[in-house]
Amino acid sequence: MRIVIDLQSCQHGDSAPARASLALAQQMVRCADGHTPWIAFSNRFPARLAVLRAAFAPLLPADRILVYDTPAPDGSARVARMIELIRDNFFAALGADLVFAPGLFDGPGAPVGSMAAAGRPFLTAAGVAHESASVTAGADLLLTASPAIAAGLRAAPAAGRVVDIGASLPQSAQAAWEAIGQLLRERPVAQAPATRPTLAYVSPLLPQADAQERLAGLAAFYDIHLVAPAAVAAAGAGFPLHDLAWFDHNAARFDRIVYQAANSAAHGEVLRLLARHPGIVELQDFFLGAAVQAQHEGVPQDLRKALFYAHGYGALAGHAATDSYPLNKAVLDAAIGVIVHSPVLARLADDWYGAGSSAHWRVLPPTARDHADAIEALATASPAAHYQALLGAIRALGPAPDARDPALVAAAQAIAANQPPARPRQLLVDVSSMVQLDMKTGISRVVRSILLSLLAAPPSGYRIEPVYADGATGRYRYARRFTFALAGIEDPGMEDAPIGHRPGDVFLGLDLAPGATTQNAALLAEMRSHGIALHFVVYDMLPLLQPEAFAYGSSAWFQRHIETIAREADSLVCISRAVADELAGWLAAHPPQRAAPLGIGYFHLGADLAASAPSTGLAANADQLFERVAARPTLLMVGTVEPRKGHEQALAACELLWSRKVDVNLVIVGKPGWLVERLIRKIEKHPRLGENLFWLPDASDEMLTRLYESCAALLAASKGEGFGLPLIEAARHGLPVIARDLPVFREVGGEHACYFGGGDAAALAAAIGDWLSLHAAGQAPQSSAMPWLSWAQSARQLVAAVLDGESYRSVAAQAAGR
Amino acid sequence: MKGLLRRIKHSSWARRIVFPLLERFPQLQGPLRRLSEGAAPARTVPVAAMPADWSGPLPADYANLPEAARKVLLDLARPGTPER
Repeated sequence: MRIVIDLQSCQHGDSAPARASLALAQQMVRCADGHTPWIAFSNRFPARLAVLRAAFAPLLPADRILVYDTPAPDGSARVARMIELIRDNFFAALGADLVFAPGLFDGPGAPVGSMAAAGRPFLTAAGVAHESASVTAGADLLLTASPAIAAGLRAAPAAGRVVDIGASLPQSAQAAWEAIGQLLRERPVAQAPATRPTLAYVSPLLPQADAQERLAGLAAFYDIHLVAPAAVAAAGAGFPLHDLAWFDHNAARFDRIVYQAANSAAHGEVLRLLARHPGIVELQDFFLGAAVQAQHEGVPQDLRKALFYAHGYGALAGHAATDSYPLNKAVLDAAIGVIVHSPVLARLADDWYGAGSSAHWRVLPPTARDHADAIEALATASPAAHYQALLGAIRALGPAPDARDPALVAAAQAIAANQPPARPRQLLVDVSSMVQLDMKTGISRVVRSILLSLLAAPPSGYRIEPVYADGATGRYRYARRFTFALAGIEDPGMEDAPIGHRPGDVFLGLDLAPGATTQNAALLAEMRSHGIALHFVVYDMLPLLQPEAFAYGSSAWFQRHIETIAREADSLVCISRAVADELAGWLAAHPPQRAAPLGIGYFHLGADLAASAPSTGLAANADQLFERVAARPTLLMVGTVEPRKGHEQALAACELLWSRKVDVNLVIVGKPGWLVERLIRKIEKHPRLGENLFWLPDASDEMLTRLYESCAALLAASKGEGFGLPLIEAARHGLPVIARDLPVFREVGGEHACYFGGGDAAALAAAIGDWLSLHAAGQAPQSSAMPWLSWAQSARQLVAAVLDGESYRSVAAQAAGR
Repeated sequence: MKGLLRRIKHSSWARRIVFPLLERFPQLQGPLRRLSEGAAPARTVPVAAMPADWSGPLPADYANLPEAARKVLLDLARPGTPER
């Protein structure tokens, strides 16, 4: 039996009754022999959600700890009833056999009556004696912790069963389960309806012989009406016949509607009706491209939108044919339930949309009795059926519905938030900075490359959805216009709508957007409390470890960013083991206030330029430059000109070498950064500029590739890096590497680079001199064997770190965590 | 404006002032970028947000609702929707 324990009573504070209720619930979960316990919390009281979630994390899978939304009360009876209906519907759609609410009456909470009225037993535990009997009367079973309270409750009029379970664990938890088990065993069986329901069977064709036979069998349980296009309907059949137009106006007359869906153009018209009059779909074919194309005939953009809705960006890339995709998602989502003719179709759904996609589907049963039972189960107990029932109940509260009604808007938001997990799940990839401004930095290259790789090969069961923080409205939006442009796909006119999310979705902060992340801390916390896993990529810790290399204020913003993600995320994924170690070290000194441990993982970046949307074009003086490069050994530096990159030391070292008549060139590729005005002036006025010294502030990827192929060595003089991508890019072109002896360069370059230490010009000049001697003798370490990843492999490493949940290190929870 | 923004992008002192401002108010980044590119400011309510099969009134912040909430709202407000 599926038992939902509603713990909203524990959300108001750390009181003694709340602790008692929590302990009881935890013990019940531990000893839930034969039952499947779920834990539910209310979104109305978010303060202790993280702590309470963490309390059950070792006991239950994350997807069995849920938060339900209800609108805020406005003092009116109508909204109060809406709240009850929405909460009740949440439990019903979850398939709860019973809802247990320990300690509900110990603090502010909603009244119990509505749930019992809906037919689901509603229980409560200790501490009810001070509440009025009228409030507790709706419960089927009241559990108390003392004989005195039990006696008082039994004396109350209209009280349900009262059981004293005692106050000592674990005996009281066992007693609670025994009382619940007895109640469930004695629950009355649902009665069959007094009158035969009407059923509309909607199909573009008259039923074939086998379908005729099935309908004849179903006629024992339903008054069946056939609905078909006018020309077909005129042909007649063994049941009352109606055309589609008549049905469109009279659908409400039917208790049950069954649509036949198959892959022919004739079914397009039928599928249009499904969107307006939800019903059960009898799915004969999994691929419905022909029917959906007919549905959108004459409006190609709508067909492309349907393709995008069903299968995401990948389906619109290139020249993919619509018949390569099932294109049935809109049909499946609109259906109240799905009956398939073969289990193969259910397996296809799991393959295309992720495991569990067909969890509520039924395979066409062999007997009419079972067929009718399947229709009844889907029409009355599926999540979509509960949704339809909820719509009807809210409409019935009156007045005439108006979409501008704030109460209706709030109800719609809560109902949408309560919808069950969707398949495929969303992998929400945050690209907030890239969407606003592509700074052409190393991080933007990573974001572009990883995103393109994810779009090309989404992890199984996930749909890639790039998103960005919209500062104006304080929410995240889908980055559709950006993504279509990045991927070179024609935009079918999709909107950057605010994101929706379901439990089980994953948010990946791929981009570095410190301001947006910090501002959205509360939103991220809310997403996490609703079962969305949060992960952030950490590129480096440099603004905190080398604050002098960054503009004033950078360290403070960055620290707020790290504090925010360390507090809110499930895990942080660094771009190297070295950064993971630095992050763990910093967090050890600045422990985040959080209720659950924080995972720290790492992955490595890719190095295939071709997969990162490379820029093209050669510099105006390219011929002259390459002529000079060919004439003598040339050291190449790649990266933004900024203090920590070591350009100043490298230039000074080369000046020393030039003064000693050492024949060597220095080529700097990188745009001007910050705090380097003096250095840039020096470079621009340097007497060797254009002779032995070259600076290319706007080199394209094509130009850079040519330089990798032409120079003698890469000089990686940076004093701090997150990864050191140029090392691998150089190695890919067989370019030897001279690198500063940093842990991250050792991690990336291993034994395939030559390392130097020392922070002054003389030390570096000596290292370069030694390397030039080795180079001349053909003994310099070669980089060709340096291991490297493609961006596709890098994206897979990142996905594994995020979705498989394996951490390299972890940061313990703090007792004072939220 | 375009020249000014380019100057800001390449100036350290301006970065110290402007970038913190953009970090604090990321909503300024988009409009500033579009201004620097000479484009008109973006529409506040995208046409793509308008439901195709709906002719009734909509709440003022309809475009700021997630798509799932929009669908529920229209399902709730749609006149004559059958109840079974």
